[in-house]
Amino acid sequence: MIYLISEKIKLLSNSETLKLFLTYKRGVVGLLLLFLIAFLALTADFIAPKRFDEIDPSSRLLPPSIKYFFGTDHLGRDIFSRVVYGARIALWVGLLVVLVEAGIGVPLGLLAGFYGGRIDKFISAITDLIWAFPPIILALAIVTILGPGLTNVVIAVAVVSWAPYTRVVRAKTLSIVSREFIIAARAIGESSLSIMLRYILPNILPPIIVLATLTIPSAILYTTALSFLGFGAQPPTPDWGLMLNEGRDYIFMAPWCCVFPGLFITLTALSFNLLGDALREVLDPKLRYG
Amino acid sequence: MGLLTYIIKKLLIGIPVIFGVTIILFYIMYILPGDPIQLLLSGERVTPERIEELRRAWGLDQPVYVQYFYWLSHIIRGDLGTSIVTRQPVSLLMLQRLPYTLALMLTSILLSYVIGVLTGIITALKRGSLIDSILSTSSIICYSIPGFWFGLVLMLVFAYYLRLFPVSGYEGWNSLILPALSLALPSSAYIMRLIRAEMIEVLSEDYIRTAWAKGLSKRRVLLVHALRNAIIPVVTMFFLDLPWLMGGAVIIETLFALPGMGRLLYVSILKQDYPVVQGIVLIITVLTIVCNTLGDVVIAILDPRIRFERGRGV
Amino acid sequence: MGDFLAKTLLSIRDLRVYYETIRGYVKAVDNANLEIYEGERFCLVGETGCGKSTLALAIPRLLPPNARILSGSIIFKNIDLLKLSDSELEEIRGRDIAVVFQNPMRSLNPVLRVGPQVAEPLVAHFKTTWREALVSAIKQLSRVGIPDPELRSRDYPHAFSGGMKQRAMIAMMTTCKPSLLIADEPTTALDVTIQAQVLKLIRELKDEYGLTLLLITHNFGIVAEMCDRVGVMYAGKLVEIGNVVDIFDLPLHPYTKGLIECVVARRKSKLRLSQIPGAPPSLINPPRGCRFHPRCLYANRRCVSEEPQLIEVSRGHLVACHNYESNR
Repeated sequence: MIYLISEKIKLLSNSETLKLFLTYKRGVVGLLLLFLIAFLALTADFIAPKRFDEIDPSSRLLPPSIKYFFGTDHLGRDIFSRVVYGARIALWVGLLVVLVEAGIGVPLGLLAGFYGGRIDKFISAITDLIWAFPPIILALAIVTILGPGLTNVVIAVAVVSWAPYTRVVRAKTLSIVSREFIIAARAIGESSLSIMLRYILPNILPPIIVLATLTIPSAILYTTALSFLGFGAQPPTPDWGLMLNEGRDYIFMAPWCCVFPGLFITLTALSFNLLGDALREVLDPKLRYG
Repeated sequence: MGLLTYIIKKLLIGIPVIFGVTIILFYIMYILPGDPIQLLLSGERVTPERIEELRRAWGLDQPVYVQYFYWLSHIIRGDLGTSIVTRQPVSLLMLQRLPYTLALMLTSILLSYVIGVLTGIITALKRGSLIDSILSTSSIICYSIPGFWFGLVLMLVFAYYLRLFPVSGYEGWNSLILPALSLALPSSAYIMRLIRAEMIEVLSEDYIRTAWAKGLSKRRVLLVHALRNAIIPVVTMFFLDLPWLMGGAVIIETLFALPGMGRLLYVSILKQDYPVVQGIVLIITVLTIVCNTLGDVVIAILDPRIRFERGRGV
Repeated sequence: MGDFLAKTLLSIRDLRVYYETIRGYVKAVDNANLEIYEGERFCLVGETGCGKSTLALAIPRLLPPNARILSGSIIFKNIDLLKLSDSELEEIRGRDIAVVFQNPMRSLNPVLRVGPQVAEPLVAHFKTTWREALVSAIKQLSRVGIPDPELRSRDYPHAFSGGMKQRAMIAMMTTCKPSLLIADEPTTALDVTIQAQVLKLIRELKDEYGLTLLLITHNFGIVAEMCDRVGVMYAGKLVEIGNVVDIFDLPLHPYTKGLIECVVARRKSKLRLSQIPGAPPSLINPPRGCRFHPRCLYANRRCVSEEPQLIEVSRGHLVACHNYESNR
């Protein structure tokens, strides 16, 4: 199976696809933006002038300057440093959420598409039901039960948004399962699990990758929203949403406390959205000539 | 099958779903950590006998299903319990707040659909032009912006610096504009993209060519023939969007200090006022199911093909 | 049917229509010249992709968005249609020039009822009230052979069968009694049994309303049945035009000959239906000279280098071939 996956990856990264991708200006911008943010996240220790939790009561609420690029917050912490460290959290949390989402959604979609019938109906019904419910409220409910903290927020957001994965995987699985080589594999006596892993999974990878790129932004937006409400990251974590919460009281006298963290949330979400949009058009030939 | 039959079918399915969900809800509340009696008496010092007495009075010593029916019978009569914090009936609290949330949601829907549909049609008609590029890129930016940050920025610029709107709290219709804009931002972007994609597809269909061949005016072809088809998924999306708006209202109302149900939910969670939380979540659940059912019904009215069980068209 | 006595209804001169594609310009119609007389039934024949639909749909300008009309004129009742603005063209479409399309399944708006769709042209062009227009529409539906027209007019298109949909289309397009009816392969997508009925209906309506018919088809059987005059197209060019009798008895162009021999076992001892060897050329880079020369049995050096023009060989019979004399 590793071989099949590597074949698919080779297909995705061959030069023609790459060249086509480069013609999508938005996608390239998104990718560059993402590199920038990832760069910030990775080199945070070197770039950040101060530690993210370094309190300095004498420098409270200072406007942006050469010493403090983005100003300081109500505890005298350097906002630029906090934003840079926050990139780490945002990317990490986004990735985790998507992994959990996919971890729930993909197997469910596989089962629904592969077995069909009542299993399909059951899984689809539950998926639709959870998807229909207001996500923020459901996430709030889960976080209330589990308690505050980033880990629980990751779980809550993932539970609220696995539905697209199940839907996409299910649809793709349905289209593959009727093909002859599956019937042949069954005839030889391959186990269902083996069929799913060896034949179906490699084929559904491209849409899953595109979907992942497109769902990371909403994962970031939801997790920062929950942190903004106080249920997510706890102080002194430099989570961008939490920073907005903390800076809210001082918005009029020190707007930079809120402007910069939120700006970076936007930029991060934007980078993934641009990238995912372009990826989707590149990988789906139908859309290209539309 | 006829339209009426289809609608009745959908409604009948909705009712057991609502029941099922109430059972799940109740069970979740039941297994929540925290003793309701302790919460009720928080701070007061009571004897164990008093606790037992209260437990029996509230029926908390009964088995789960009995408690469920007890609770259900209250719900149906409109009694959603009493707030721990304010000692007022939950239903009263919610009714007081409901108009504000409704006003916010309605304003926001109006904004997002007007902006979304107009820009969607424009970009579909002027596909590939400069204005299409600008609007399309703007829409991607719009749904990347977190609503709560957008609200803060709006507040800063328009309320504080420009003094055009009140900063927070409810002071009349004026107070709804900035919150509604914050709520409408991502929605309008999605609607624009959806309409654009649908219009482009519809405009390439044969029946549009027939409409042109009949010599109908451009306005008629676009509105009566094309938009009528393109809008179908958008209208369906409207009903699925409503629950999302309810959730967004929680954040926006909290941000702008509007006295709506969303803020009530948030505050109640913070204060651990569980009866209120339970009541609001219940109502929202019921509303979600109602919205979904309405969505199914409306799409059947708009698209006659759906009513035929075998699927679309011939 | 005396050609020099009849009035010209439509005159196409030097028409060039190209399609813009990623791979280049598809020269779908190249320098077409054609006259259509009032009251006649004219058939435009050719293989799929030869440009006949493009030529016909260029008249009311109902071409796909990537089509470019590069040059030429289409004179209809003393007006050059190609010079008209969109709103001026609106008045002519549906009222003076009507089109029946090939695929009835997708040509009716699925979310509107049939009655209003048939009534629409009347309201748009003659400013009648909807009530009056619907009454006329029901009458028209009855005229085209739809049973229970009043009931059916309240149906949605998906309740109609293919044949009924096409009849509804015909009703829709003839309510305003147009001067010219363009029918683009109206029966290709229908069952064989329905085809004959629909063709009969078109013939009847033509006589009843005195309209001129421009019929597009790839089927010579239909040509024989339906038409007075024929225009044969190949690879974007008109290669032969003439009376249906002349064309069948004495096809001058090798392509026409081949086409007819494909479907008609001629009296002269042919036992099998023959084929024209080869395939139609790409229209992005068509062959130099005569476009048919790669497949032509009689091709000579002149055919490869020099493009033949349409020449009137006998009264009303035109052909574009260098060797038409030796072909007889």
